[in-house]
Amino acid sequence: MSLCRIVFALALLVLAVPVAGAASLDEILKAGEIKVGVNPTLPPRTLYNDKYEIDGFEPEVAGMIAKKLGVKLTLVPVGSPDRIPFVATGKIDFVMGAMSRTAERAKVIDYTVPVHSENYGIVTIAGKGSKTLDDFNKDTITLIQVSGTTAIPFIEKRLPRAKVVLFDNYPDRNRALAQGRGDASFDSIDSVLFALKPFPQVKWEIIPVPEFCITYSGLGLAKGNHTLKDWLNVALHELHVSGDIERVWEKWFLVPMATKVPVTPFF
Amino acid sequence: MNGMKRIGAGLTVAAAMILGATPMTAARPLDDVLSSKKIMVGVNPTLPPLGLFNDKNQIDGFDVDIARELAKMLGVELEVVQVGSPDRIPFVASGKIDFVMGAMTRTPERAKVIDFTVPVHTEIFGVLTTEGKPYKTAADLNDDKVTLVQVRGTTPVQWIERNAPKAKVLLLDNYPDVIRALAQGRGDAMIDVVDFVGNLMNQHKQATWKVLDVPVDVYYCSLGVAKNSATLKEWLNVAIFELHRSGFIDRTWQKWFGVKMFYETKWTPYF
Repeated sequence: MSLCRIVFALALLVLAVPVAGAASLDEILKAGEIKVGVNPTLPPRTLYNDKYEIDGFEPEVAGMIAKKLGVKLTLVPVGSPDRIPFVATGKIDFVMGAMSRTAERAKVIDYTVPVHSENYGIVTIAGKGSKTLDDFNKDTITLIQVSGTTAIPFIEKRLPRAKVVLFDNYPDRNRALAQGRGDASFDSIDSVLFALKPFPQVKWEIIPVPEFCITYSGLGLAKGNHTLKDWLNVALHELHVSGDIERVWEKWFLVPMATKVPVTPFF
Repeated sequence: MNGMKRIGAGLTVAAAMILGATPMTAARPLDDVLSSKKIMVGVNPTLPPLGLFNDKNQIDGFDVDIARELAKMLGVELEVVQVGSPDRIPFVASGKIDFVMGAMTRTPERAKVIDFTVPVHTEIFGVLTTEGKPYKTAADLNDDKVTLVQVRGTTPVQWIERNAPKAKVLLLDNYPDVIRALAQGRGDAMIDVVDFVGNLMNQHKQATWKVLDVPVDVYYCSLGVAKNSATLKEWLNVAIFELHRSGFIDRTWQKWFGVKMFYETKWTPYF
């Protein structure tokens, strides 16, 4: 075998190893930069601020991670359809944006430990006296909902007596709630106080309903990128224990996380 | 020229090393499992009710129910492969099966050759007795007024010789006889892996059974996967978490063992 052919064969072997093109921890450290996908259509997780800069809970967490790593942070705006392909092909090193860990998504990406929980519950005007899910299962109650959401089948099953008024989108639902055109809404509660900020005259009450489902969101990364994942787990554990994640959550979401992430050093 | 040859030889060695570093075993990554539309799972049918042969002579049991649910979540067909104690680890290490079940307790020795998922269930080595007996822990059994009823030739008998030498021991031939003897008050307690006698306990409803809260030992049983099959392991961890959270694992345990799992798996989303 000639030297050329050996070198060529070797080059093929080297090229064949990292299939997805995901950057390992060493490569990120050498490059001095980490690329993080955030979704600006999910405020206050990520949003454009008054100066039209990307800002929010996730950029702040990503900033703390980059600082611990000692590299520059580059935020890459991603949308719901492209965020998983971006991370699987190594265009970004990890993705944020309410990446609930599910067995379906875990077929294509790996996850770190959870960063935060995702919760459902009831938002209502404070002082109405209804405290439990059963209090809302009455024909005197009108729920204001967005059509086509996962909340609807749950309401049909669990709150069959309540009347339901449907809207096409969340801004319309929020306005209807603030105008008192119904009693309450059952939906995702994590960002609801942020969404209802335009109606400061109303005092809101949030009642978590854990029986619906609590999911956990971690950072999503390319399958098999264990060097980065192992480091991120250690970093996230530090950010949980120091209280930084909870502090940044409350700053942006205006309420404590409805379900605390059960942090343990045993991972 | 000589120098060129040496470089050539060095490169060949380097190429061989790279080849060597890629998994030598045929363990299948998750993508291969998905594209083949089939997952091969090792079940040991001599560990009822984890694995057993049912009336139709098919392999069945707790392990098969769990494997079937995991295959359903993956969207692939389940192929149950019969394994025994000596061959199950070689089978998974060489990629003949994708993962192995059958009370696969995580031990440092086994972890040298295979990897483990998060725990699916526990088993306890503990004390089965009846209400009204004063024992709080296994140490209370080391007393000449205590009669332990045990299966002849099993490892707990040796444990008793070492740790409860003062106790009297009544040796019987099998578990149904031991449980009957305890129900009839012919002895005070049994020390063994108590999970497996749940169905026998249910056959003697007149006895008010009690398993001491403090187990002698707890075993955490996982799925065993090949070293280097990390993409499959990561997926299995997420799926096992969902099966814990939905209550599927506890329900399936109750169905096959006739009792609740005695010791919680203590599953957590933090992994």
